Amino acid sequence: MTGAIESIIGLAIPAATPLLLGSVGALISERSGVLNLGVEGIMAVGALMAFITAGVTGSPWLGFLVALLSGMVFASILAIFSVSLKSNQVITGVMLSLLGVSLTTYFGRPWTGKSVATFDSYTVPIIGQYLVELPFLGQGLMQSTPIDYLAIVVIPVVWYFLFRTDIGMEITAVGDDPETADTMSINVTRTRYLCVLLSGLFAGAAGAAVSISFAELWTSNLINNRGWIAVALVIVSQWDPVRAVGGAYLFGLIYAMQFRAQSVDFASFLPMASDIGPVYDFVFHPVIMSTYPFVITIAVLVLTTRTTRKELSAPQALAKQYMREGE
Amino acid sequence: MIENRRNILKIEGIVKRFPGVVANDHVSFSLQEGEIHGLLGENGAGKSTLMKILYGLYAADEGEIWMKGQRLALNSPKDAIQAGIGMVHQHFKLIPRLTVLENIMLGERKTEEPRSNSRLPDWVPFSGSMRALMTNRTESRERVDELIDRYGFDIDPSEAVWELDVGERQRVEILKALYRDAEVLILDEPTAVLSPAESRELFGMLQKLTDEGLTVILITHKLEEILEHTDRTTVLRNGKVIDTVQTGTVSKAGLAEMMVGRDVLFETENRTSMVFESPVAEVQDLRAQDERGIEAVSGLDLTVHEGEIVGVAGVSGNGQRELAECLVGVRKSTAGRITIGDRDLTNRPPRSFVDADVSYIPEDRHKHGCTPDRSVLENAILKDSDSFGRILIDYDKAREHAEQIVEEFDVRVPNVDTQAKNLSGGNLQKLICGRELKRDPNFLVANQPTRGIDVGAIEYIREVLLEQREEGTGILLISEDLDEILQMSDRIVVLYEGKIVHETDAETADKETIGQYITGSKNDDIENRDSDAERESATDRSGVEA
Amino acid sequence: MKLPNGHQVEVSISRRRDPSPLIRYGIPVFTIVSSLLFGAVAISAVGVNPVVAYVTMFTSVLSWYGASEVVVRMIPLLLAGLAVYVPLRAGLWNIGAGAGIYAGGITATAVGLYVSLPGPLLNIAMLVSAGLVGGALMIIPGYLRARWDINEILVTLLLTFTMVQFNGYAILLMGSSEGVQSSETLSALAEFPRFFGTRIHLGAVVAVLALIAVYLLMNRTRFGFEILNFGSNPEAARQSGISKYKIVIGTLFIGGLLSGLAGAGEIAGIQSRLVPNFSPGFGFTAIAIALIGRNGAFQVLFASLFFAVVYIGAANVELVYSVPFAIVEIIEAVVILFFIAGEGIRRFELDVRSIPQSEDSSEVVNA
Repeated sequence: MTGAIESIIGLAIPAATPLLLGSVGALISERSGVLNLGVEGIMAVGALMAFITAGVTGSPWLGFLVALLSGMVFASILAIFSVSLKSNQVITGVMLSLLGVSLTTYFGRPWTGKSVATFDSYTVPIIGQYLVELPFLGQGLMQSTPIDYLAIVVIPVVWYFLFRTDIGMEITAVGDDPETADTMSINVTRTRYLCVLLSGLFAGAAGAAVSISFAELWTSNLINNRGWIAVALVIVSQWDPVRAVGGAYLFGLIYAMQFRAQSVDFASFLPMASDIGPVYDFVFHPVIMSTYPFVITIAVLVLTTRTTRKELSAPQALAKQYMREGE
Repeated sequence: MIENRRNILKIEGIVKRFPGVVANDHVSFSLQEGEIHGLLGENGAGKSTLMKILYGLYAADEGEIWMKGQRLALNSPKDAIQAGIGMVHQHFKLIPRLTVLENIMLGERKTEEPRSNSRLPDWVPFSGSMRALMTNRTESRERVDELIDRYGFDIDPSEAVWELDVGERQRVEILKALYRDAEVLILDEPTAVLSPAESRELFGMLQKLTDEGLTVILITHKLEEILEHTDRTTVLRNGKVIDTVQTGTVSKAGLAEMMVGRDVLFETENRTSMVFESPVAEVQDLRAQDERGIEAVSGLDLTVHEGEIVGVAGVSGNGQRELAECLVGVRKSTAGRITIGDRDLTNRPPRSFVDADVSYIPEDRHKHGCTPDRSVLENAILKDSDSFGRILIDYDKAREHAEQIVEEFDVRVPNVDTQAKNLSGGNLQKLICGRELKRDPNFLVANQPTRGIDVGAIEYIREVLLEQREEGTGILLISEDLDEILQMSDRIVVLYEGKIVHETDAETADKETIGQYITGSKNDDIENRDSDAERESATDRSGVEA
Repeated sequence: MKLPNGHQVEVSISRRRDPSPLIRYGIPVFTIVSSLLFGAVAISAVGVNPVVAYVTMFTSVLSWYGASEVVVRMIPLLLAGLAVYVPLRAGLWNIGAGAGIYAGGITATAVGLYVSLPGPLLNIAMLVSAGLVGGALMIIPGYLRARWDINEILVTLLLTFTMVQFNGYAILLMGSSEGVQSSETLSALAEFPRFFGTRIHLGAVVAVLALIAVYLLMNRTRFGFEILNFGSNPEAARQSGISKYKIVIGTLFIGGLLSGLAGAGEIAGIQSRLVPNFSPGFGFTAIAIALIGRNGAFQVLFASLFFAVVYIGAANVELVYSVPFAIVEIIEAVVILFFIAGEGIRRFELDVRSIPQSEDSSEVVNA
């Protein structure tokens, strides 16, 4: 049984990384008021660019870097449309996702099935050997690549950025009340551009995490809705990067359980297996489990709307266009 | 007692014109250092325009502003702040999610000499942005703490603003100005949102501030405040300065007269003096809150009879909108009863009121009165679409109806297919009036029906309202235009801070007296309660009625 | 902002006062031309002559077979497009047309497999049940929005993905003996009849009826009147007695109903059995269609025609020239993006003003 749990957690941790990176990126953008529904597309672009670069240069790190850059470039489309052209952010994001996925499907065909230089599993120096001995987590950590570690390490940095720096304060102000922020001499446009580009950077990284760290291959449907789950995760995390960690690993766990459901009989661990067996069959059915991230998200949405103070939940100016009065 | 203080701010000949109106007409006055200077006037007198000019939001067409002997060019709020002018707005500019300290510090790094400057030297590339990444809040925190101690604010800078109550939030706004070294502080109707206790605290603080050399401009329409707390007062009316006086030397009545004027009473038309019998709308002990959850209507009784125009006088912000909205079902009351005709419609949805033949001319015709992208035709039948068909709409009949309204109410449009958003203010208002009046309602609530529209339209709307009165409709006319109230009402009530403080027949009404009630210097409600209390305690003491 | 030569400029975006005719008519042309150009670049990137490809794309639909395939493709696109269109007129975003399609397909399959009725009645039963289930599904986002103002964009979006998964589960439940990848096949009785020897099926009739119904709804009925006015100004509508619940839940229900019908059509008319992913991207395409056609039901029709043509044309180009099929989605996305960009250009203009250097912004002159 321990072996089964270990293998599940082992899968959950790397599975969570792209979700974490993607949602942190989307979160940053949304905190400044720009809804980013293009994460799926940006992840696809990042994934393919990382894959190609790694294949051509033989260096996964270079691939990762290129993914960051290409994510930013692709996200700049969203920035221009949402901030400067004041377009509807929902449509722009959805179409950007469609474009990203279809572009990469289109241009990625020659790369399907190839294998390129990818990230190997990585143990942290010195303490690594002890970490690997940990029950449950150990195997998961054994399979983690530098990107998985990077994803976790970056969270406190993001937290600090958002909650302890002056820019972070301005981002919050712009996302809640751009008019007031404008009155206080904050450049709303520049702040929003920055945040959207950052979200592109993270989404690109998330894509790279899928193609050259987790799955280590390229196919046409590589991203497989992970981007949308990342967007949903922003709500579950209530726009807080630290909570995003919990959510990402939860969703990663669900994914892993889903994956291993064929070989593992979850019901056998739980009480009353003989009585409510069919219930367990339903609950742990891989297809049903794949709906859980969304069900959880809707549940969180409903609960928080009813309980949290309006001023403390979503950024108040989210997805609204901002224009100075009198223009 | 009043030493010869220096003039710190001099406003000279300020003129500001908008299409159709001169908001500020050669306004001049000066501010003495360390005084609390009241700015008194009705809505539309030009107070807010003047303040926006002072704060750099508007540019004056003519005139100059001098501060400490130097002429100011105020092209933006930044300029005003830099000159030492600080403004506490009526609607706070705060981010609830952030802490007090953060709200105060916000945007500071963009100014010339940010206090929280990290020690990063200028020659480091991207030093501006790098500083933004670092955070040196210690200095800011120190300065804020110092201000809090010095002036006796009772605030914790690390608390988030959403946790603060209204009075505390206002203090944060004041802190924001002080932090930026304001020497002149402008407060725009600060007690509009405060309880009496909180108001007292505020004025205590203002006194402390001025003791330390700060100068305060207090914009208000409440005479009590002027008389109790200001050193001098400038009264504005219709864009002009009536006078600047030492507050100690004037009386309430004098101020009221300056504010409201001695205009000749309009000749009331020879109206059939009617005895009003059946009530069309009745309100008992109504209470309601505004958007922020603050009580705006505080226990109000009112009756409107068939064929009667009841005018509600008072400055906007005393509960007018909330009262109007409750009476038509658009807002839920928190207590009290609303009876329309003989039916209790308390807290029923708008539909019930529409079906009960209640009509409503809202204060904000664009936001609440029309669907801008839709045609005049559709807007004309917006309320009674079911009389043109329950399932299918007979658009021919609707077109006729709309054309009739356009004709009868002088709505100047090429045709009824024009989009509503293309109508001028006056025409839109006439359209809305047409829609609401053509239904032949039993009860009509009109909130500021002639505000912001051209003179011709104003006259027209007043005419049709009077005609509707002849038809037997009971009308509640809410207006800031006292002349309008006096001209049109059969009965007048004054709304002040959510209560009715005075009631009178139109015939015996006089403008100055009403002006006093509007500004709170007289209050029948309190007087009655006081005298009731007196009588009661007198009875207690002697056992017999005194 | 400082220019390289040291001058200060202020860049701002302001509302365009009066778009010139050049702008107003040029924008749609710009949209189409730019999209085609973009597509041309992508096509040549895989080594195919774009001119040849486009010619093939647009002529292939002129044949009898090609045209009929376009119609086949239009059926779900039109229905889904209308499903997004109706809520859109009320100001609501139905991103969940895909969810309705899957719900409808699953329901139609279930009814088709397990209910026995004479032929035409069975088809009708399948359609009605698919529509009702699709509509019922959409009551969820509708109620959440009406009651608690929960953003329907996210709820409908998430519903779509949930339903894709559910579809997989349903396939297993109604599984066939042949393999895991599909359900039992519908009997010939349950399948929708086809016309003229093509693949155009009963769904076409449904789609046409739906188009007419939506048109009448919006232009003649009181409910449509309320929808349009609610969409223009929800608060003014509410104050006039129009019920928010009725509009929000009602329009989303209709959206679900229409997409449910689309789903039934795809399964009973084309696939004949439930398969995974039978609605690839229809939901998103529907958004694009509704956006272009947002001013009227017949505009929706034309938009769905356009996208159907692109789809079928691309399928042929793939066949003949091995241009990957994803070019369809690329063109789709690009068309919408240019369309939105065009809208932005129409509504706003860029202002660049130079600030003279000598003036300091807070001019203080000694008296």
